[in-house]
Amino acid sequence: MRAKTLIFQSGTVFDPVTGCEGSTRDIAVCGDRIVALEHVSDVDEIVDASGMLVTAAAVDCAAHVAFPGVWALRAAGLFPDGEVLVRRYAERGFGHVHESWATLFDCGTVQAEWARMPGPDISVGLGLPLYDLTTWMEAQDAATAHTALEHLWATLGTHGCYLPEPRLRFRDDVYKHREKSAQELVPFFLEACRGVPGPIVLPARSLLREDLEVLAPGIHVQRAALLTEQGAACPFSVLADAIGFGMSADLGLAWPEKAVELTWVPPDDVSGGRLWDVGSFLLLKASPVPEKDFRDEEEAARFLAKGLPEGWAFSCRQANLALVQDWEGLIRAVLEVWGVREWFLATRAQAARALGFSDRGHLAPGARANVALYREPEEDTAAGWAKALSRCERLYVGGREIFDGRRGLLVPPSPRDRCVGTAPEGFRAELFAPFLDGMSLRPETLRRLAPRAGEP
Amino acid sequence: MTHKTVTSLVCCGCSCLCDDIDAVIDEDRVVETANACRWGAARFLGLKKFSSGLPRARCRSSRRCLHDKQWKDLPLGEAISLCRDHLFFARRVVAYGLGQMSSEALWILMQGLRDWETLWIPSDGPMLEAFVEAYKRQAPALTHLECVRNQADLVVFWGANPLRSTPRLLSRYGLFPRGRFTERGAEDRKAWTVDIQATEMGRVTELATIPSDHEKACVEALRRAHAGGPMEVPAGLSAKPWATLLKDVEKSRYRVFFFGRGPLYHEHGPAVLEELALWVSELRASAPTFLVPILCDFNSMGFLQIFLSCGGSANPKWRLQGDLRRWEPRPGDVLLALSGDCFWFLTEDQKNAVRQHHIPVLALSAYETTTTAHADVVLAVGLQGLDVSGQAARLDGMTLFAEKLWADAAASDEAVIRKLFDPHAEIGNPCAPRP
Ligand code: SF4
Repeated sequence: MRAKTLIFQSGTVFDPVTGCEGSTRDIAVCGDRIVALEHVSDVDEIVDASGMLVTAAAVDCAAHVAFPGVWALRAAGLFPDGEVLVRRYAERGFGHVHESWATLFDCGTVQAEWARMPGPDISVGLGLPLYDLTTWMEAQDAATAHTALEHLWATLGTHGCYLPEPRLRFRDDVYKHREKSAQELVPFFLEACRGVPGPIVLPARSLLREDLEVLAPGIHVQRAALLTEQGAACPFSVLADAIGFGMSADLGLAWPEKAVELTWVPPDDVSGGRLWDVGSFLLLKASPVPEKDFRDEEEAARFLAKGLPEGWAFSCRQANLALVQDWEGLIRAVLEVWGVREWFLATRAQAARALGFSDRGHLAPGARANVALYREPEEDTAAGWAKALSRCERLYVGGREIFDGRRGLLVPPSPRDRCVGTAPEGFRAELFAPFLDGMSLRPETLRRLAPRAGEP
Repeated sequence: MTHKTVTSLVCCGCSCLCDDIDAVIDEDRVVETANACRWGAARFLGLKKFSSGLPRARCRSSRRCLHDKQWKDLPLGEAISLCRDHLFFARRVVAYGLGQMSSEALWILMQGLRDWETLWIPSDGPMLEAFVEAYKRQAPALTHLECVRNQADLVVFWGANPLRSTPRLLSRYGLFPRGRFTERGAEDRKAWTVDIQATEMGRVTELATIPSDHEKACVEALRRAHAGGPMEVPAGLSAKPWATLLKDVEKSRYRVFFFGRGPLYHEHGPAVLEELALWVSELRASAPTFLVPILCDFNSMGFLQIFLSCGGSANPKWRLQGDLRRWEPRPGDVLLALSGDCFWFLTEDQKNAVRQHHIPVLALSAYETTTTAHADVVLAVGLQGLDVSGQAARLDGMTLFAEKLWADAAASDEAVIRKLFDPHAEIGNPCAPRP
C-alpha cells in the first residue's frame, strides 16, 4: 500500500535545526517521515497551517510515568491517572516520551502501563543495577557482556540504559569487600555498551565529585539542576563544569506546584515519602516536591541562561513534564531567561539528541513525522509565546494526527508500533543467566515481555 | 499420539503466576505437568482445584436462557449482542469477578464502562478495598517477590496461609528459596505466621495465634513496645511469642509482611491492616520493611492497577466495593459476572432480589459454575495460558504474559469484551502462539 502523503501548508515554521525561525514554509510528510517537498507528487491531504506555528513535536527526555508502584501513588491520590498524563502531553505538543527506566522484571509492567496510554511515541531505558554484570566484570569479559546486553535490549525492546548509580554497593556487611567504585566499573561498562543505541543515563543525585573523572561522552546526566540543593555529593557547579565534552544533561528545574519527585535513596534514608525496592542497592522514593521556583536558585537560573550551547535539554524536577499543571507559567518563566529559539532547542532537538535519536526533535527530511501545530503568538513577548506554546492545536505522531485541540485525543491505542526496539533474531536464553541469578524468573519470561510487533 | 514438551509456561492458577511450568501436551490437552503445585496442575490438566482427579466442567458454548428455563446455544456474536442489548437498558452495571480476566480485557472493559454508573466488586474485593483505603493514609513500602527472595531475612505472614491461597509463594519467593543475598535459603530467614488459629504454617514458621477481636490491639502492642514501651498484650494472651516476634523484627535487616485475607473476614479487618501499615511505615526507620498483600485471583493486582490508572477512584460514576454481600440489587441493575462465580456467594435475599427485580445476569466464563447455571446469557471464553493468551499482574505488581498452548477456537475475554462495546470488532484470539 502506498504511504499517505500530507502537506502542512503555509505555516510559520520554527525549527532551529533546519535554520527556520519563523519563515513561512510547507512541510511534507510521506508515511511516518518528513520528506523534501520536491519528492512529493500525489498529495493525499493538505493541512492549512496558515496562522499556525509548525514545529517538531517536543520530547520529554526524562520521564517517570509508568514506573512500578505508580498504582500505590494513585491510590493515595498523589499521581494523576494515565489518561490525564497523556492528554496533557498531547495538549502541550509532546510527540515522544522517554520513560527513564524499567528493570528486567518491571519491563512488562511499564510497557503494559504505556500500552494503555495512547498518544506519544515512547522509549524505555533499561534500568540496570551494576550488580547484574558482576559475572562478566570479574572475568573482565566485556565482549560477552556486550553480546548479552545487546540481546537483552533487543529482547525487551528497551532503549539505552539507566544506572541508578555508577558503583556497586551491597546492603549486607558480609559483601562489603566486593563493593566497587565508579572508577573501577564505568570504563568496563562503557566498553560493554559500545555501539549500543540509546543513552547511558545517570541520575545526577547519585554522582560523587570523584565520579566525574570517569564519566564520558555519551553519558547523560538526569535532572542536574537538583544538585543546586544543599547536601548533594557532587555540587552543581562541579557537574556543570564537567559537561561540555560530549556528556549531556537535562535540567530538572523546580516549579512551584504540588507534585511528587522520584529519587534514589540509600536503604537507611527513610524520612517521609513512599518507598519501593526495585532490585537495586538504592530504593526508589517518591516524595512530595516542596513548592519551589527554579528562579530562586541563583545557580540553576544562571546555568539556564548559559546552558544551551552545552547542549542541555529541558526537564522538570517533578517526575515528568505532564505533572506540571501551570505549563504556561513554566514556559513563560523559562522564556524570560532563555529565548524562544533556546526553548525549541532544549525541548526538541537537544532532548532527542540526549536520547540518541537523530530522527526526531526537528523537521529535516528523514525525521520521524512528529509535528506539533500551535497558534502564532499574538505578541512577541515571553507571555505571548508562552500562551501560544502552552496549547497545541494539532499533534501528529509518525504522520498520524493523534490530537486535535477541539476534539481531543484521536487515536485508539496501538501500543506495539509505538515502542522503539527491535525483536531479536533468535532467542539465546543462556545469555540471560547472569542477569537472572538469584531470581525466580525464567529467561523465556523476559522474551514474552517484549513488545509484540504486529500484534494488537 | 503426538506428544510435545513445552517449558516455562506461566500458570494462571493464582497470583503467584509461576513462570516455570513445564508440560507435556498431547494435541489439545495437557497430560503432564512439572513444577506446578496441585492447583496449578489441576488447571493445566482440566481438573477440579479442590478435588483432584475429578474433571472440571468447561463452559464450551455460549447460550441464552429461555423463559421456560431451557437453554438455547447461540453463536458467540449473537450472545454478545444480546448482552449489549441488556447493557443498553442498564441504569447501573454491577461488575463482579474481574480478578480472573486478562489485563487487556479489563482495560477495554473499563474504557467501555467509563460513562456508566458501575459498581465494581472484584472477587478479591475486601483486600483491594482495604489496601486502597490504607494507602490513602499510610505509606508502607512496596517490594518485588524477586527482592524478597534475594534480601528478606524476616517474613511475617499476617492472617495469611499461603499454602491455601498462593501455594508456591513459600517455595519460590517467600521462605525457602536461595536468593542473591540469602544464599542459605530458609536458614537465612526468620519466618512468622500470625493467625487466629493454628494452621499448617506452624510447621514451617513460628506461629503466634491471636483471637480475632484482639488483632489490632496486638499490632498496637508491638508498635508501642518497638517504640520503647513495655509489651502489653491484651489480657489472656501470653506476651512471650510477641516479644520473640518483636525481637526477630528488630534484629532483621530486610522485613516483609505478607498480609492475607484472614483479618478481613471480620469487620475490624481494615483497622488491623491500617495499624499494620502504620507500623510497617515506622519500622522503615531501622531497616527496609515492606507490606505485600496476598491476593488470590491471578490478576487481582492487574485489576487494581488498571482501575487506578483509568481514574477509577476519581470517576464519580464508579464505586469500588469490597464485599459482594453489601450489594443491594435494585431495578435497573445489570449483573456482569466476569470470570467469577458470584451466585456461589450471594445470600438468599440477594438472589431473591435479583429475581424479583428481573436483573439480567450476564456471565462470561471459561468454566461451568453456579453463576452460569443462573445466567440469562452465557459467554464462553478460553482459559488464559491454555486456550488464549493475555497479560496479568503478579501479586507484587509485575506483569507477565501467559501464552496460549494451541490453536483453539475459543475466544479470548479481550475479544469478547471488545465486541461487547464495538459491534464491528472481530472475535477471535488475536495473539497467535509463538513457534
Ligand atoms: S502457586 Fe499458583 S501460579 Fe504457581 S503453580 Fe500453583 S496455582 Fe499455579
